[in-house]
Formats: sequence, C-alpha cells, structure tokens
Amino acid sequence: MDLLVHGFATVLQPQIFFILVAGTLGGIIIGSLPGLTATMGVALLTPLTFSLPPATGLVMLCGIYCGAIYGGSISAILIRTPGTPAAAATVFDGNELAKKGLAGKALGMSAIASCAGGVFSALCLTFIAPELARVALSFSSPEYFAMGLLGLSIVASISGDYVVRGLISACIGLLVGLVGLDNLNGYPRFTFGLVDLLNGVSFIPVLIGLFAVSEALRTTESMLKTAHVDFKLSGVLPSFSELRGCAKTILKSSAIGTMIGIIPATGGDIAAFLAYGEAKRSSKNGEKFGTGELEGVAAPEAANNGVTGGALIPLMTLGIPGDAVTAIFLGALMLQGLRPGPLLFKDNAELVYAIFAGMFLANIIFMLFGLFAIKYIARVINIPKPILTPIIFVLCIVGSYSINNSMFDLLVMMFFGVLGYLMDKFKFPVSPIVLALILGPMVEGEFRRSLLLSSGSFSIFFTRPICVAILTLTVFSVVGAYIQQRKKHRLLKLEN
Amino acid sequence: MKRGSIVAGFLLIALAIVVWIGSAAFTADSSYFPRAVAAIMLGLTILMLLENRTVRDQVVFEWEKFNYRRTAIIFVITSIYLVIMAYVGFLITTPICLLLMMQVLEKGDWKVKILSSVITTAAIYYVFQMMLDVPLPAWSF
Repeated sequence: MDLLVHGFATVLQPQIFFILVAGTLGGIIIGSLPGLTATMGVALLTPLTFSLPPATGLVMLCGIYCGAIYGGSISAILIRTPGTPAAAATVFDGNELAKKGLAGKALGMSAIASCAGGVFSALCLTFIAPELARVALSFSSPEYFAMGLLGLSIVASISGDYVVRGLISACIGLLVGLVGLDNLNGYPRFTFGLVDLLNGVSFIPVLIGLFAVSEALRTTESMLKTAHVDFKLSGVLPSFSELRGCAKTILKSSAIGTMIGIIPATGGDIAAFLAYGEAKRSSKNGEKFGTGELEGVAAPEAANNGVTGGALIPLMTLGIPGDAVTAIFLGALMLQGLRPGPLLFKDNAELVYAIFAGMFLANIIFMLFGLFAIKYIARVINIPKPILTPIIFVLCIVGSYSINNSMFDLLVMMFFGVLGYLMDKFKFPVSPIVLALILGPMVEGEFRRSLLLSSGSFSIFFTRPICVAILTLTVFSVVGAYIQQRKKHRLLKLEN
Repeated sequence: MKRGSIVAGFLLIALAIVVWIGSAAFTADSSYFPRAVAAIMLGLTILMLLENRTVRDQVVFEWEKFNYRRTAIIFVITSIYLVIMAYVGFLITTPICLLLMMQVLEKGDWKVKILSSVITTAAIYYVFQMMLDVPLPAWSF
C-alpha cells in the first residue's frame, strides 16, 4: 500500500501530472481521428517520452494509451466511424443516439463507462500483477524460453484468417531481431559491414514505419472527404437514474474487458463486442439495442477501456506483450533501460507503482475531458485529411530521428513503412513482426542459456513441469488457430 | 491474390535461402537460431503456396479504386525531404515539404495550407528542440 501511495505522490508532482494530462489529451485527439488507430497514436507519440525521466515518460505513455482507446468513441458516436477498432461496437447505439439529438448524452456515458472500465482494470492490475510477479520470480531460463515461445504463438491468433502468413511475418520479425551483435558472444550477424547495424535495428523507427508510415501511405490512396460535426453537444452529463440503469452493465463489461485484456492476442475490439453481446442478452431492453440505448454505449466502452489495465498484467509481470500497443509499451520500457518481468517489481517497485497510479489518473483525466471539454475536442474530427496526413509524415520522421539523432534510423523507418504498406496489400499482418522483433532475442537468449545450464541437453525443456505446461499451451495455441482457420475456409467453400 | 502470393512466396523462399547461406559464416552457436528461423520460414512459405492452390484468384491492387500515383508522389517527396533536411535543416525544409504534400493531396486553399505548414513546423520545433532538448537537423553550410 505504501508503494501505491508513493506512486500517486510521484504522479501528482506538478510536472509529471502536467505531462500525464498532455499525454491523455494527445491520446484522445489521436484516438478520435478516424484512420489513426491507438497503436499508431502510441507509436507516433512514444518518441516524446524518451528524453523524459522514466517515470514521467512512462506515465505519459499510460495517458496516451488510455486516452486513445477512449477517444475512439468520439468519432464512433458523432460520425459513425470508429476512431479505433476498439470503438467499432460503440457505433451501433452511439450514433443512433446522436441521430436522435442525444450525442452529448452518448458522449457523456461513453466517458463515464470508459473511466469506470479503466479504473476497474487499473485496480486489477495493481493487485493481481504483483502476485503474478511473485510466482514468476521462480522462473528460470527454460520457463522464460517457453513464455517467449507462447508469446510468439500469439501471432497465430492475431493473424485472423491468415495464420500461415502471420507466422511468416513473425519469422521476418525474428530475422530483423537477429541483426546486430549476438547478445551472448558478440558475433556480428547480418550487419553487412554497416556500423549503424551493430546495435541492431532500432525498434521505434521499425514501429513507426510499420504502423504510422504505412497507414499514412494508405490514407493517401484515397482522400476521404472530411466529416463535419454539426451535432449540438449539450446535456453531456447523464442523469442519476440513467447511471443507475447502466451501473450493472458497466461493472460486468469492465470485468469482461479486464479478463479479455489479460488473455494475450485478444484486444479492445473483441472485448467490446463480447460485452455488447452480453449486455444485449442480459438487459431488460435488449431488443432496443441498436436503436440508441445508453447501455449499448456503456457496455463496449467499459470493456474496451477495461482491456488497458488487463493487457499490462502479462506485460509487466512476464515481459510478454499481448498485442501491438503493449509491444510498443514494452519497447518504451526497454528504451528507458527497464526490462519488464518479475524483477521489475523487485528492482523498480516505485516506478511500477507510479505506472499503476498513472493508469488510475489517466482514466479520471480523460473522463473530465470527456465531460467538460468534449465540445472543443470533437472539433478535431473536422481537420481535413489533406492537412492532417502530411503532418503525420513529418511527425513520423521527427519521432524516428529524435531517438538517436540518426539519419540511418529514418531510412529504417521508410523501409519498414513501405514494407508494411506492401505487406498489407498482400494480406500479411504486420503486428507479428513487432512481437517477434521484441520476443525473438529473448527466446534465443533464454534457449541458449537453458542449453548451457543443461550442458547441451534438450531434456531441460521437458523435465520442468511449468515449462512443459507452457510449451503444451503454445502447441495448442498454434495448432488450434490453424485448425480454426481451416474449418472457417472449409465452411466458406461449402457455402459458396 | 494468387499471383501476388506466388511472387511473395518466391521472394520469401529466396530470403530464407540467403539467411541459411549467410549464417554459414557465423560461429556454431550464433548460426543455430537464424538457420532454425530460415528453415521454419521456408516450410511455412511452402505451406502458404500449397494453400494458395485452393484459393480463388482475387485482385490485389485495385488500380481504379485508389490514386496510386498520389501515393508514389508523396513517397518521393518524403524521401527527398529526408535527404535535403540533413543539409538544409528542419526549419526550412519542413514547411516546404508540408505545403507540397498538402497540395498534392488536395489542390487549392493556399492560405490555410501555408498557415498550417508554418504553425506545424513551429510547434514541432518548439516541442522537440526547445522543450525536450532533441536537436533537430540544422543548416549545415
């Protein structure tokens, strides 16, 4: 408890608090712009955190993350276009409410439900993560290798209908992760004699290239007409009876979101749809869902923000990112010289609890923005795409350059931007590259360390119960996803 | 899609072979992992090509639907900007690059575009260079 109080005291220092507020606002703005996903937002704004002290930078990232997930609901409600995939389910009832002239009410409920979901998940993060970290302290190299492999197997699940292509993308990520000096013996691999590659390929330019540049290139293909918000945003605060009517749904959806967040490879969109479905099933007004029900806004919004804290649990305790956004979070932690995992709780407990406090406060901050400044924030939706897209390009360039002040990093960013763009065209998912790029060096390092421990015997992986359990789970994860995909294809074929 | 997959498949097979051969020069323990990845990638690519036989042919690039020329022009402007910025500096090249890109994406309304370019450049410069102490490329002549 002392650590949590200390965490809050750290975050409430004026400078850090100001940065948290700025990060949350930045997140809301990016999240609310259709076409800019939370992943892209976090990737774009991450470079801002490098030159800041670790606590300040990471707390800012918490604000960006929570703000971006919430921000997606603004455009979902106002212009029927979800700002982020996580807000897709909010469109159904949110936009119907807007059409009835109740946009303000929908936005208000979205802010409150998102905040409730976020705070619930931050609570779970605060109390579950340290316990899980304590268990993980008993892990050794074989278990870490198995965990890394399990993390990589997630690729199969996040690849949708293209499991094999996702696994190929992961192999590309693993190969990119091999570039540079071998961690164990210092041997240069795939550096092509370039000094710039000795330390490996910089993570952030790869990330910005894959998620931001490729996305911006896609935007230039067809300049959609900019939407204009002409809704009157009044009556944002829901009444007490409306809140009481949605309370059960909000609580249930927050729990669904947090649980989904803990499971790697799921994410806000799945949580939001599940919570929406459950709310529709159990609500007295279930049949009215889709026609402008406040519960239909509360459920997905509580769930998608519930994911934020849940997703950080496996990341902070085991160092396993469950999706692209947490992978970026992991990258930011590593660039600050921190290695997520159980030792983080032992060696940097104060920082960990500052992050927890940051998660709590970010949720409250975006709710306040959502309730009292939404009229002004919603105007960003009116920014014309032809003005916005070039600005994103320049931000990508400055962000990539700012990490090492290196022109080489800019070339890396452009290369991965084009690669991401082309991969998307050929239906190769890009998120696996990032997961593999992060987990690859860990998997290889722990694998070789394990073999050193066992004097070269592979039996070390099959004689330790936890390791065997995790490896079994890994096999099920990949095979299960593949079989599911085959079944789906067969069904489609039969239908045709 | 089918043709695209075949092209991608052959490129991936070539990459796996290059990695396998390139790893031969490494020390034994350094080459273990890259070779394993290359082998897995080769296997997966063959699986993808086999799967591809049953997939109906689809168009990958629907040229009529998007303005690929605009994407290419934006890419070229960005690339030139990267090269020139290193010598001429951030403050001079950025507003010009922004203005050019905005004009390529939508013609007209110069006033708004000039204003947006200048304000964006100033804001980015202020945040990165002044607030965060990140040195941006300066005039080097």
